[in-house]
Amino acid sequence: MGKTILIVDDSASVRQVVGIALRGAGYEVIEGVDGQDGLSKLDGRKIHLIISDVNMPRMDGITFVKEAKKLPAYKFTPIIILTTESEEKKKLEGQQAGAKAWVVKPFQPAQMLAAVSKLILP
Amino acid sequence: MTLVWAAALLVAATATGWLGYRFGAARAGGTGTGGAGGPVDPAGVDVQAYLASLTEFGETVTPIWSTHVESSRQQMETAVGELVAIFSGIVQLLDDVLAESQGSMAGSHGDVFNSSRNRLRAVVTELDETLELKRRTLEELRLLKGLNDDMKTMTAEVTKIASQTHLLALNASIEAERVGEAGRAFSVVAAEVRQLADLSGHTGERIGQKAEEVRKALESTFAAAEAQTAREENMVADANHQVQSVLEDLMTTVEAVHRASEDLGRTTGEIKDQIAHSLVSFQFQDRISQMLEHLRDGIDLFPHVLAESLRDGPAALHPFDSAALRESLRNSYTMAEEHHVHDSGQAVGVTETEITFF
Repeated sequence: MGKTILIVDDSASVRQVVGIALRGAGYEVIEGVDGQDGLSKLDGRKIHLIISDVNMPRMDGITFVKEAKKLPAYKFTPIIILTTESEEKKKLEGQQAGAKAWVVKPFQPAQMLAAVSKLILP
Repeated sequence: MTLVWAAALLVAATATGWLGYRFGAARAGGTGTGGAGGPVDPAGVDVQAYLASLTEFGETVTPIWSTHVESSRQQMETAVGELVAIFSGIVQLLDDVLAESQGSMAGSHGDVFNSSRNRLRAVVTELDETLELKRRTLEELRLLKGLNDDMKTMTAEVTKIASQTHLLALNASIEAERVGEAGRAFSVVAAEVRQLADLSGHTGERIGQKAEEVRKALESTFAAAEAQTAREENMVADANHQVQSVLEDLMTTVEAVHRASEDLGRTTGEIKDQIAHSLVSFQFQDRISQMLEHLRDGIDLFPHVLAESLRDGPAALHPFDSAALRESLRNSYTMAEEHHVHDSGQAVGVTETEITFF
């Protein structure tokens, strides 16, 4: 059974594009449409890595990362921020929230997969 | 859409500039009163009516621009979402086809060929074994024929012995007659011996006849068996040849199918990769959607900026706070390109992927 990755993004097309790249590399993918929906997916199931957008309705990505890190089962789950934001201030917020990497869109699948491969839990 | 926003700013800036000029002139040279009781410049323009029209412009036109922008953004998001979903489905279908094709063809051409060859060889081996049994039967017949010849020889010898015995018995009878009364008993014995010799001779002849019949039957059977075996040898040789030919044809066909399947798999894989690669380009939708959102929010600011300028009425107009508006726009940006466009006033391309590890 492949490793599971949670994608949290309010853009369906981004979720699908990321999903295709990850599924093509053998990962299983589950999706959340915003931070709040993403949190609801953290229900105890094994998730080896999370990829989250920043600007989303209901709950933004930085808050989602902070909330996810409060959950004991996902405290050590690596999180990659995938966003159009490139400001250092925002990156710092992401780092302080507990993210492990910051990827600015548009991403190249090979680079994204390399980042995933580097960070994903064994 | 950037042009729309620029046009709005131009209208506002022009109006503000005109008002600044007009009111400066009014304050300096005195003004009349308009129809609504407001100031009227020397040229007879009703300033209050103009300001009212500007306010109306901000409240009615800019929302339309904003709604058009939002509508376009939503339509693009929906359309791109559907396109991505369709392409994703195609990629998934191609993945399934590839997996099925690879699964069914994995070593199958060799398996099919080996299986067919083994089955055909089993049939030929069966035929060979049957033929070998025929050959052994033929050898047995040949042996039987030889034995029959021996029996004929022996029969001839028996007949010959019977003939000699008959002759001997005849001589004995003559000698017994010549001896007279003393040889009578011997003459009886000689007659019995001659009779037995005759009987043996006849029996020998009958055995000889039967042996001859057996010989003829054996000759006929042997000849038929030999001819049958020769035919079967030809048939088996022909079957062997046919099997080899069928196997070669089969191998050629299987290899052609395998090559075609490999080509199809390779092409399918390339199509899938190209579609997957093109899907990456659809990320533009997310970026443009955000830019349009920021543009929409910027347009929505215009009526507020206008209201702020007019907050104290025509007698105390405030200039547009362009710096505050620009700062507000800047704060809404999320992408480096937006900042670059804002600062340079020129369109820019998409930047490369940037990854930062913490």
